[in-house]
Amino acid sequence: MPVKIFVHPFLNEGREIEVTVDGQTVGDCLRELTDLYPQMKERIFDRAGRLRGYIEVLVGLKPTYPLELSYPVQDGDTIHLIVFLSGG
Amino acid sequence: MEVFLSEQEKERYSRQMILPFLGEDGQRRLKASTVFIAGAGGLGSISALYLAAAGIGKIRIADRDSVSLSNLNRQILHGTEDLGKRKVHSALVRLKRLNPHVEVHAVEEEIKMENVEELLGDAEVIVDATDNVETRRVLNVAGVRKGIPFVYGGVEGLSGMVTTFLPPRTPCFECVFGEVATRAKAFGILGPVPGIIASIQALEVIKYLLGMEGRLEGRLLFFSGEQSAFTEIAIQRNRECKICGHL
Repeated sequence: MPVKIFVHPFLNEGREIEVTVDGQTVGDCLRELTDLYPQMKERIFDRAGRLRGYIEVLVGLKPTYPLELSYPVQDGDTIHLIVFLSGG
Repeated sequence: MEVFLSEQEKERYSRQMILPFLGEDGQRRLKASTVFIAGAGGLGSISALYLAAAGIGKIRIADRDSVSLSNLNRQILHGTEDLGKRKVHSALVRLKRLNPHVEVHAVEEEIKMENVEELLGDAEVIVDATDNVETRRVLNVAGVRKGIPFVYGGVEGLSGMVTTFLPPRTPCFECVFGEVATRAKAFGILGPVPGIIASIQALEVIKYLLGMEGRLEGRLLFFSGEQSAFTEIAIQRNRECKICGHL
């Protein structure tokens, strides 16, 4: 199912990009994204393959937490990957 | 109003007053300034200490929480003897002990749209030391309305981010983080990380008050403690922004 991903510039050397991928979940889509752009892998996932804490994943501009990687996506959905740190 | 520096103050600040861009005039400028620090936690502890030490004349600091044991790995405004006390109380005591020349207004209140203007008072800069998106949105709106900088800082784990929002020179918080939602994630944090980010925030404040160039305007600086590396990206205004688009 084609899903569009908007990637925050920080994850891609300062350039915001839009990529179309396929998948049933956010995790599927992000894995395809990092296959296409391997330089993003370390910034999106930690060594254990978990989503890094500073990444906010939105689908249709709605937060996906706590499901995040297992959050289901549908044909035509849009994923936004945002880098944000809220702690103080 | 003429700002006077006593001999004791001149001695206290002598190591920064010898800097050519600061001098006695710059020190007077700092003393004539008011800074609002939104929060007395990990970020607020460090920025408040450095700004008080630098001789900012008036520090207004707001926080509604009390000191708990799990705060003390990073919130170094407070000590073990402050457990259970209001953070603004221990902040006031600590800052006055560090520099009695600084006027400290510590307010135990939640920052909301209804009270933010009153809390800011005559502040010329807002230092973000909050721990949530909602309060940052309130501070951003207030900063845009007053035309004063909002120095954002955020930390989690081993990572930190910092920038200065001052539209129309820069985007505002909403331009960059408008899509960010409330987060429920619990996160760990190592004390030096807010230390690094809040130190940069304090430096941004001082540079702004002194009219110095080279500030983090239109640039978001990201610190990775894991890699011990800084990365920065250019951030741009959103002309359709509902908060600052009219500027």
